[in-house]
Amino acid sequence: MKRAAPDADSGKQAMALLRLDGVSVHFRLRGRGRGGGVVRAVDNVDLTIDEGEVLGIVGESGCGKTTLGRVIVGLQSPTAGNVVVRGEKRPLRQRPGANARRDGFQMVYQDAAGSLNPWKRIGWSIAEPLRNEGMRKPAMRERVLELLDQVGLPDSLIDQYPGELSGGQQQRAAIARALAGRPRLIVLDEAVSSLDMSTQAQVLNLLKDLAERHPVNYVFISHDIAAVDFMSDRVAVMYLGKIVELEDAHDRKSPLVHPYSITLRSAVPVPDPVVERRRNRIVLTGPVASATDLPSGCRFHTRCPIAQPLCADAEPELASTSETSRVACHFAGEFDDRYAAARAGTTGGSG
Amino acid sequence: MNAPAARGALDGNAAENRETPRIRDARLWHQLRAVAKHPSGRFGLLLIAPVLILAIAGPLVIDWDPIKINPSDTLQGPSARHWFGTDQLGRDLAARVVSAIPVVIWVPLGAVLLAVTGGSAIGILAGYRRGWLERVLMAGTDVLLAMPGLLTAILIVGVFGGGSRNMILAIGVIYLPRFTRIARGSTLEVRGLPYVDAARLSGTKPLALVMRHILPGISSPLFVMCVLSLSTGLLVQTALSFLGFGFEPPTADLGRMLANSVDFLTLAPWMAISPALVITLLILAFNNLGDAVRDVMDPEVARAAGTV
Repeated sequence: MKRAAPDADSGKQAMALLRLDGVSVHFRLRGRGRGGGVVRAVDNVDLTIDEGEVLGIVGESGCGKTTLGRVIVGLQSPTAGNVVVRGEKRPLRQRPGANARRDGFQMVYQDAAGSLNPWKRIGWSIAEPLRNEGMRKPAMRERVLELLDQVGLPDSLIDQYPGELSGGQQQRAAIARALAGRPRLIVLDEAVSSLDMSTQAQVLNLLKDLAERHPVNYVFISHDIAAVDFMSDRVAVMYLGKIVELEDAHDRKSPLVHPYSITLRSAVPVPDPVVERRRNRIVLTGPVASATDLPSGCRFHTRCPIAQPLCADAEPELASTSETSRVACHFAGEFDDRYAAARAGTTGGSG
Repeated sequence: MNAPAARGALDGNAAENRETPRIRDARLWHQLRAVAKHPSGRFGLLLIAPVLILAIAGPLVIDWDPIKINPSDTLQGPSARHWFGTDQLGRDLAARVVSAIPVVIWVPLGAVLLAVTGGSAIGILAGYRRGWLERVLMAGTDVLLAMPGLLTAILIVGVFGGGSRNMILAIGVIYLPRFTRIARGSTLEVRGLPYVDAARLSGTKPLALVMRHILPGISSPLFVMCVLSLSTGLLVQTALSFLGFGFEPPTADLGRMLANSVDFLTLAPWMAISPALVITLLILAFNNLGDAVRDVMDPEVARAAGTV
């Protein structure tokens, strides 16, 4: 999957396709009874995406991963921080999507049915980026047929309406449209989550194939850590608007170490009934904190199985803790021991 | 249609077909056909037919001049000579009713077209641009909406005078805000849909975005409102005429004919019957058509089916 292996830090700034510098998106709540609260959908995120890599972003619903994706493609302007594309700073206030053609950034959405205009034929929708480039009709039709073929759809779909397609076909058509303008980067926002399992696998494989044939980067956003693992060169784990763990390189040998990442991974079932039955699933307790009223200190401490008094006071930095990843946790790398101790403590106390 | 199904069987898409219900057809022509097939739609067309036939064929078969006074024929009942009878000046009511029908169709139609065009433009602008512009436009809309419709219409024709054009203007203005509100609300809903975002990322400019993506998406509720507004628009028009704000006297006009008939109601009830019948038929027709259009296009129904 990996093509141009970026060499650690040397010259990384120059070749980064996209860099987020302290990007925040805070939504102010309006209206009666909401008391002018602020939702911190994305809070001070630093992130670099290099040419030729697939970045996975994983996190639960409402953790800000979709908002982060929208910032990356330019549909959402950050309320603080900078988006730097190939070394060039994106204007702070701009019409949503004004940068899209220059940057060559596209997005594929979770809602496959909603991502195609129901009043227009499939061919028309796929050709939209081409039409905006001023391509002539015969050439456009040629290209649309080529795209349909690439995403594994029959030519006959070109004249059909989205309502006549299945969910998987709709998502393939949306992918074809995203590919039409030969993009540099596609943000896949839960792109397969609404499809059933067998179709998910097909679409994921299709995306992998496409990335091998085209010079395109992906940002793969999902709540499904297994799918993210399958797709990505590098994984970023988000919790309540912040990146709590960021891999520098994805070698499958070194596991994620943030307690939240470990919890996410432990939720993935193992396809072996014997192992699955004996396996220790970490189940989170405690209330899901709200993005309007963030917990003090580490924002995960209210649910963290190994939380210590320190965690409620000091917010951990996203610091380099190992060769391969940066983690925002005071006790990174000590999870197993502390978790065992915590469990022994509770059982000991009650028994 | 079956080509994808054949492929679906090969790559396992058949399972999705069960989960994704086929949505109803969004194309206007098909929807209009569905309206004509709907029971209420049929009934509406059935009611509107005799009025249209009367309006078109009437002038060809009725020899009487709608404004000519015949002193020897005053207050005659319906007969072979005067089908609908005559009024207190001996004018033939059939000729008068027939000559008045175009006005009660064109004025509401023109007013609704004016209101939907202006209202959509304002509503889309407000919903698309948001910010202070939206607040200003919607405040103005609320002011207009708070004013009693008929009184506002009377004010406008009172100041500018009667006649078709000014009545269209008056009714159009009082119907503007309801279209503005619908257009804004629907725009707010549609502008956040993934396909609108996708169009933005494809480099579609704002005007094209509105015309290609937002306008089709908000057209159903607007169209439903248009048809429902036709019947009340007709009522407002005849009310204006009834109150004397319509046309100058010799011109035949259903509202004024009703007003005229009031003094002769016991002596010559037929003076009220023929204009009232035409008004009733048209309103029933518009209401039934409106019901059918709502059933076919209602955004709630369409949303449940996944169109919007």
